[in-house]
Amino acid sequence: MGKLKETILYSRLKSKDREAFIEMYDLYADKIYRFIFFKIGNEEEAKDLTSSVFLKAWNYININRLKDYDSLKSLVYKIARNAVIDYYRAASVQNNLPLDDELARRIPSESEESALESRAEIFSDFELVRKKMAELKDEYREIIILRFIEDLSIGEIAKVVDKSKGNVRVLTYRALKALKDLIEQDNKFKQ
Amino acid sequence: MQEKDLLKKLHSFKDVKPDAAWKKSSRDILLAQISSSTTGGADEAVLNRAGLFAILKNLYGDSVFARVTQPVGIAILIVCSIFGAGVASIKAARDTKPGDSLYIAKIISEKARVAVTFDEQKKIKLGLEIATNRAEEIKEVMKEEDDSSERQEKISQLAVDLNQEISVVKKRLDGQKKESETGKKKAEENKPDNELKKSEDDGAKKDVEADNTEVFRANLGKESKGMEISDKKKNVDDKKEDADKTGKEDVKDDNNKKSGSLPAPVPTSTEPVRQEEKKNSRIDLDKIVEEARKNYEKEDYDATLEILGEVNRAIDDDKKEKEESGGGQEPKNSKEEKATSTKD
Repeated sequence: MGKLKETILYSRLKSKDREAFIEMYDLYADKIYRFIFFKIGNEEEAKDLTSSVFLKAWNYININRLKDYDSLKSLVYKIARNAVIDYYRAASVQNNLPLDDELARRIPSESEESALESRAEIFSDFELVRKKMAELKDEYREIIILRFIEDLSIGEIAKVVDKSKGNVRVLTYRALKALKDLIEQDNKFKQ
Repeated sequence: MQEKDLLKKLHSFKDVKPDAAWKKSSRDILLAQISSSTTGGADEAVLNRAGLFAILKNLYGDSVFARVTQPVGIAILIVCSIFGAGVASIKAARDTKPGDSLYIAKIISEKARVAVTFDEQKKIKLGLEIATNRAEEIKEVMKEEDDSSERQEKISQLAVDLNQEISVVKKRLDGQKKESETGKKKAEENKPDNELKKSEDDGAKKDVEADNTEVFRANLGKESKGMEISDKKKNVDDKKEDADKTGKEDVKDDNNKKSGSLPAPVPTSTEPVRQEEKKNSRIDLDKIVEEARKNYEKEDYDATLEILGEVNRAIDDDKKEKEESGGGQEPKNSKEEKATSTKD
């Protein structure tokens, strides 16, 4: 989505345009759901949180008078991230992710690339990655999701996680390396 | 596993999606929730109000607005400073005399003011002000020590200018006179009152006029600066007395009046008129201006200045302060001439 389109959408949201809300929802629902799902690993909770994120975004855009708006995308992700933090805080379920089970169940059923899944070898790699993802520390996992799954730019990620671009670059590098190391270790262990 | 493969696999996580049924139902619920907080009508209104401006502002952000508004602000500052400097230099030029570097600024500002003044009354006032300036300048130049031909030139040029200004004022007054006959009549009615008051005032200060019909006094607004001048120069002698309450102050030396190389100002015959005109100043402006011209012709710039001041005062009492500063120069001369009076 182009910057112009996004900006127009933001302005329409600001003027309480319900059509714009629907557009925003359709545009980001999947991404936000995915982001939250990978972070908390629970499908139902992810759905609830996703709904609350859009409601919060709507209220934030309409009520907030600060001029700190820069990108609707970053804003929505940031709200999602905060929602997850709040969720952790409330439930005190940090680092207790049932990510593996959920992913194992979801991915095969939803994947459009069934041909890919059918190939046992590749599928095992796929599983390996998501398993190791769950082992990563929260900070790294977040960066991996945003950068390599959601394809956010470094700048956008910096806004979402409230860090400098340089910081995000370093984190991205470390996160990817950590994930790779985990996978390598696993491979060595298997051998 | 290569990094490339890893990234590819990570990318394939994109396939994780919520089921479509939930997505739709969630959307409907959310829409219902946000709709309860807004009404349709308000929607339209707010939407219209938001308009292109809001979109543009959001699109380009504050930085662009700053980029646009900053140059505008700077431009305003520059314009202000240019005009401010202009105003400041005009102020600085106010007390200049011919030969000063800022004198030209004074002349230009005078001309500019005439050009942008459209009210007849104000034009007359302005003309008087300019004439006053010229007269003051002549005095200033006359005070100068050197006696070069340059100085003479300056004075004669200023004299010509002064004459011109007085003519202009006179012309304007004539024009106005014709137009406001009725207004003049009213003024005429007030005349006796004025005269009465005036004479009362004068009487209280000094019992001059009552005692001596031949002595004429020009009150410059300050008792100590009273100027009493005889109408017959021949009668002036060197005998000096202390100024007493009869107002018979003698001239110390009429020649003292000549501070410059110009012929001594001839205060004589103009003085009676001056006295008279002081009384009538509020009424018969053009007469006074005519007097100023006469004074000018006699090269009595002090008297001219004084009369111009009187006219100015008559036209606008608010200008009193300025006139006093104009009159404030008189004492220097009056100190020299002290007072000229007839010897009885």
